[in-house]
Amino acid sequence: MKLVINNLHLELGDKFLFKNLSFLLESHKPLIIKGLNGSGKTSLLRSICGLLKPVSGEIIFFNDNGEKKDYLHLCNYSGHKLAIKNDLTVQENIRFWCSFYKKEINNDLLSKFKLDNLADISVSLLSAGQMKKLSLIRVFLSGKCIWLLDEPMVGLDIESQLIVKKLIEKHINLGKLILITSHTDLLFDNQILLNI
Amino acid sequence: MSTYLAIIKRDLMISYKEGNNIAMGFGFFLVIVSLLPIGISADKDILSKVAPGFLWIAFLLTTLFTISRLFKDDYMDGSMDFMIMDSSIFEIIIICKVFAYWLSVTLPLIIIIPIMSVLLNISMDLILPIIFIIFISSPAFVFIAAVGSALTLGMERSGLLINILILPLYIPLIIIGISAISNNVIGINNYSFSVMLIAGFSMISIALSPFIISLVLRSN
Repeated sequence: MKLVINNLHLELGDKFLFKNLSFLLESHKPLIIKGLNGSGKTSLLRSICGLLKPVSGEIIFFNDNGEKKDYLHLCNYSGHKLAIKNDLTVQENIRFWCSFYKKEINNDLLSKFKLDNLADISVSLLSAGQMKKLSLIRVFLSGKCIWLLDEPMVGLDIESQLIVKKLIEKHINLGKLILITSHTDLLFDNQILLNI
Repeated sequence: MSTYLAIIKRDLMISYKEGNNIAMGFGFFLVIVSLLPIGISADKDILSKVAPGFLWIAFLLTTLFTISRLFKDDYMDGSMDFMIMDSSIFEIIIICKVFAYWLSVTLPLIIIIPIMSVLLNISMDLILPIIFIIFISSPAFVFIAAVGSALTLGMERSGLLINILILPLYIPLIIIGISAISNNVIGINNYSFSVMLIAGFSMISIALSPFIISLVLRSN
């Protein structure tokens, strides 16, 4: 499968971000996007997710058989907004997203990220890093084949960063697509670096 | 559990845990209704004539007052993005959210109407017709108010703006509803015709509002 981005032109309100941006996102080749603050990395991810309409350009998805298909329902995105509810417990948040994505409740990820002991605690009591982990778990359990991760390592301790890296590698090895924006140096096999 | 049931369950849980909207709704409704004898008259005859219509208006204002956050929390914490991205039928998600709001805030208000009616000296014969007419008009109340909530999503002090934007849309409903209740008080019987009109109004609101709300939320 692959995602082709052709001559993308993005603006945010009156602010010009970039134009004529083209690249290819392919299986087994994670794409790492780098750029200065405000260069449009997050907007690019939101645009691929269909949350921000580009001024011009096209985004085309080809499945494993080379057929052109709709892809928005195959995407999952982790951005600056964590999409977790402070009034609910960790477990209730996970249960909601599992039901939303029609997936079985999987507590393995909670254990991996050492959140299993906090399952019945209100999310409002978690630290920023723990909230970030919970938000990433939402992406990992969704079973979607295109992951768009905006600064996934920010706020995570070293141990959690390694777990995230392993989960990303597993996703890559399954031949699924992944696009990451990051200011830090992430090292994956066959990774492609793009500066915007 | 389906996506849609999950949303209803989650919104009900949040509503129950927060308790804000339910308590505010009860409080606001109670305060408005108790102002009537002070502001108009404590005379039982006068009260029993004006109270049914007033109860209806108080119910409408309570809906407008409590609905401003319907989409705001999901918008602010980013959950809305995934609902837009992940569901080809975002409109059904909107219906689920409005339904959860109706269950958590509107239905308890309908349940306490008999108590309010007794406080306002409304005749026992009128209590059931009033409850019924408020019940069938409540979908129109909440779905139209939800459009206002979506339109004012990114704004501060959205509560007041919702009232300004949305109240004119209620004029036909207010005219039909209050005339049905008042005619019942003075013995003119056009109640069933009014009920049908209000039911039609509610159905149109349920059918159209989700598409308008979806359009507004996607453009945000």
